[in-house]
Amino acid sequence: MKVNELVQKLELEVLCEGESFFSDIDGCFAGDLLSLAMSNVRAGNVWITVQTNMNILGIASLTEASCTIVANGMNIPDAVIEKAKDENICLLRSEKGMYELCLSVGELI
Amino acid sequence: MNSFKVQYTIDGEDFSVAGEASRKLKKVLQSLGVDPQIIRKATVAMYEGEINMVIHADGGVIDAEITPEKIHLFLRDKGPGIPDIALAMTEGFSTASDNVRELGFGAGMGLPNMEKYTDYMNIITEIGVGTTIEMIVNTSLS
Repeated sequence: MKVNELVQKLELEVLCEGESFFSDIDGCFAGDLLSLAMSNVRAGNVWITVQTNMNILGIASLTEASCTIVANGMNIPDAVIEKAKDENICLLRSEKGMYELCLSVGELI
Repeated sequence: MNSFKVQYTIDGEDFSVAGEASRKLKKVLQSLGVDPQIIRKATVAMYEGEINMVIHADGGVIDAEITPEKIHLFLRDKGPGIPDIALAMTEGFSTASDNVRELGFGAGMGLPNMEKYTDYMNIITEIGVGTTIEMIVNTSLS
């Protein structure tokens, strides 16, 4: 499944399509500790988190996650969204919680 | 591939740009055609080191030397030093502030991750003077 298809199925809000919007998804990691995410998010993974600070973009970029989904409709600072656009990083948001998102992503991919 | 050297200055003031040097190193390694698995190891280790320098030491300098055999990283800071290296290497131990923890850091995984993702790591530290961490990632997959 590709990121844009996941967006449609889960009705995700697209804050920035980034360069990986039409690329394949390969696995998923959910978690908010950035060190844990850094060492566990694999290239192509969906990364689900409730962290919204600027550093999530560094993690997303370095790990080559296919997309980052911010769960629970958390408020994301405008500067983070702008930086995602500058860096071409796929940033998505959902009103659903992490558990629901994990279940849905698990069924779909 | 000949030896390639690059130096990064880590800004200790701005937490939001922490990780920039690791991203730059990643691009350098990609351009040199280094294996993606090796790039991952080096960038995870360097990212953790970079974050530590911002959290604990008000920044510092990272020197990277890339040869056909290895990626050699030297992280130097003028921070407070590490009083007990064995304790600092314990997964879960952290002296990071609540403020830093709220950002998702300070889980006490930085140094353990750095050791885990490198083939060699050595810490030289002096209280009140600073810390130098040397890390090597071998570029052969064997």
